[in-house]
Order: sequence, then C-alpha cells, then structure tokens
Amino acid sequence: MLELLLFPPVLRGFLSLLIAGFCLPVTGIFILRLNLLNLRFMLMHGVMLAGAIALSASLDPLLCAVGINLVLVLLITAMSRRSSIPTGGLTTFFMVICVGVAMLLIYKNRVPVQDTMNLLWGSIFALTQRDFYFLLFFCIVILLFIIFKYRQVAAVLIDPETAGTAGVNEPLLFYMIMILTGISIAFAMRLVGALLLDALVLLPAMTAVSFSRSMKSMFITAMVSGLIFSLGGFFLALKADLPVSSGVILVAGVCFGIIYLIRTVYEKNN
Amino acid sequence: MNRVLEVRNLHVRRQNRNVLQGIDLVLEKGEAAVLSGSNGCGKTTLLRCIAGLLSHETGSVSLLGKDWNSSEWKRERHQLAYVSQEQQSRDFPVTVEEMASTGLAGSRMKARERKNVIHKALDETGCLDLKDRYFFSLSGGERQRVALARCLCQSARILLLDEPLTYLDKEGRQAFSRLLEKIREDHGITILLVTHTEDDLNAAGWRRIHMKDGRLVSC
Repeated sequence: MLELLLFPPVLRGFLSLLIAGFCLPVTGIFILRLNLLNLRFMLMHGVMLAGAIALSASLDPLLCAVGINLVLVLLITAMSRRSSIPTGGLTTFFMVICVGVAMLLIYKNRVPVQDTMNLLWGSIFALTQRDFYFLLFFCIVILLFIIFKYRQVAAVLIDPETAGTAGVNEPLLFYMIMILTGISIAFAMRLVGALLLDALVLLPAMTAVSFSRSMKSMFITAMVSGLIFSLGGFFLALKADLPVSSGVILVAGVCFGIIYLIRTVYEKNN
Repeated sequence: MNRVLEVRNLHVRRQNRNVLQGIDLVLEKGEAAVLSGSNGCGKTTLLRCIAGLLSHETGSVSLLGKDWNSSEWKRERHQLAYVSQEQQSRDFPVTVEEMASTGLAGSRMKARERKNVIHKALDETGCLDLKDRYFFSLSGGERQRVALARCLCQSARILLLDEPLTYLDKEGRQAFSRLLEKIREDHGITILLVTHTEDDLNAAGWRRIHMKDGRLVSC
C-alpha cells in the first residue's frame, strides 16, 4: 500500500492532507468560539461560485476560491461591524447571491454537470505542485499567527470587548481571524469538497472542545486530532478503496463519537 | 491628575430614542460611585460609552485627561477595565489563570513576569487556589472575583463594573463589595459600579448616583 506514495500526485495529496489536517482545525476553533457556523456555510457557497467562475473562464479554481472568499469575509465583517444588520441575515443574503450567480454562470456557459459536481467532492490527488506550495505557505501563516499572537487571539476568543479594553487591537485581529477562516474553507473545499470539509476543519475542533479543559490544550488537541484523522482517513481509504474524504470523515466521526461518549459518561459519574 | 473621568453633555440616541440626555459626571482619583436606576434607564449605555464600546452623538468623555477617541488614550486603554454583565456565559475550555491573563493580552511582559503578575492578582482576589480550575465550573461569585483579578493584571486605574451583583446571593454581594473596597484602598482605583440592587451593596462612603430616563437625577 505504501508504494502508492511513490507516485508524485499521491505523495503530494498525502502531504497536503496531513499539513491541512494539522493546521486548518485552528480556524475550526475560531468558527466554533465566534459562532461563525453560518459564515462557514456561506463561504462554502462562495467556493461554489468561485468554481463556476473558474470553469466558465478557464481560471485556476483554487485562486478563484481564495479570492472570492477573501472578498466575502471582508465585506461581511465590514458590514456587520458598521451597521446594525445581524450577521446571520448578511450571510444568508450573500449565500443566496453566490448560489444564484453560480447557477447562472453554469447555465449560460454550458458547464458540464460532472465538472460542477466535482466542486462538491474535491480531490487531494488533483492538487497541482503550485496548489501544494500555496497550501504549505498558508498553513505556515496560520501557525505563525497562532504562535506569535496567541495571547491576543485567546483574549479575543474569550471576550472581544474586554480584549479591546486590555489594549488588544481587537478589530485588526478579528479581521485576520475572518480572513484565515475564509481562506481555510477555500483550501478545505479543494481538498475534501464541500460536503466533507467539516471533517477537516470542524470535527477536530469539536473533539478538542469536548476533550480539553484549557484554551492552550484545546488548540493543541484540535491540531493533533486533525493530523490523526487525516492520517487514519488516508490509510483507511487506501485499504478499503474509498474516496479519501470519506475515509477522513469516517475516522473523524468515529473518534468524535467515542470522545463524546466518554465525556458524557465521565460527566454523569462526576 | 486627580480628575480621572470627566463626562460632559453626553447624548446618545438609539432607534429614535434618546437613551442618554446631557450627562455630566466627574470622578476623582480613588473615588467609588454606585450608579443605580431602573431597567432601561441608560446605565449600561453610559458605562459602555465611557468604556469606548459605544459611540455618542454629542458631548465628550475624557479619561485621565485624554479624550476617549484620541490616539493618546488608545495607546493607554489598558488603564480602563470593564467587566460586563454577562461574563461570557457560553461554555468553552478556559482555565481561571487563562481568564485572568487576558488582562495582560496587550502587554509585552516576559512570560515569568507575566505569571507573577497573574498569580499576585489571583491571590489578592482569593482565587489563586482556583487557578487551574475550569472557569465555567465556578460559581457566580468566584467568576466575578476572577474578573477583578483580570482588571488588576491590567493595572487599571478606572474600573467599570456592569451589574456585578446580579447573580450573587446576599452574602456573596457583601463579600464582593468588601473585596472591591479593599482593592480601592490598596490600589487607589476609581470605581464606577452599575447596579439595581443598591441596598445589598455594603459600600459606606461610596458616592450614590441615580439615573432616570437617560438623565442623572442625583449625583
């Protein structure tokens, strides 16, 4: 089975999955703590729009997804901070717009249905060398951000208002968190697809929240869980001849279920 | 600098309603004041305007002689600590020590020095034994003490507390007000506390300010 890793696309996909599995759960914690679940859903639709644009105009799908998500998070963050419109309403509005424009582009440009469906599944083996380096660079940015800005990020995640009064540049940090979240969703869509990106981003974070008692241990647990889910999912997929994204979600789902059960039993007995 | 907080002719309008109407308030160094009034009279809005969390239409707010919107004040914002009513009730893995350390999030202190400051603040508020405990497993009174430890870490000179007594029983309220008094004496901090249960606050010598319909009626 390991000889498959001698093929460059397989090795590249494998390494990409491990790197993403280790780093993207950091943004999963941002999503959970700042209650950005609606936003993440809207960003998934943003990636679908990006895919439709890329297929229609023969552009790079990953760059399009990163660009569209960047525009969307900046727009929504600026609008929600400067007006009294609820973020939920804004995300729903942009989500509908994204799907509508995507459908229009697909219909008008006669994009083949199969190509459109590929947007929903993603594929780690379809990553180009450039995609790989781009992902690597982005993951290094996430790691540097969380290492060098840990105290400020933790303060914002605990309470944005008191972080601001403690001298943290809360607006800047919040924008950075939103930008990293937007780009993470774009990468996760490319790797495992729209339907399964939560396995890579959210499930490790949810596992960590159930399992940890401190902020620091939560970040570490999320990253290690993401790595284990990716590694386990990849080899399960090869062994059982499954799509890699399904392998990851199976491992992640089973692990999360076991940890949730352990926590429930522990809480009942204490 | 004796005049720590100066609010002049403050007006705030929200959703076609005058929430604050011409507020004038001055607090001196080390002074403690209780701001009371019925629900919806504008107490929290005033506190949030002073904390810089809400903008105002007209009037001015000066803290330690600097306008709240000036770059000079923004650089020294850590001198004001704000404890909100809700204390972030959503469950999330945070220890007591981590919660208190958010007061130092904007500082450039070295790790060892930071730890000493946090432990000293937790000790002063009687929370040092709780430092490794999960914050959301604490009682309401313990959470408020940790919030005070966070403010001490911040080396705040002005402390704004929004209804800190709400979730405490009578004994808890009295213990909390004794702790506040001790902190004020030891650190010379200026305190402005919002409450609607003034009677339970054991705060002899505190200035009483009453608010009604967006105006200060006794000051």
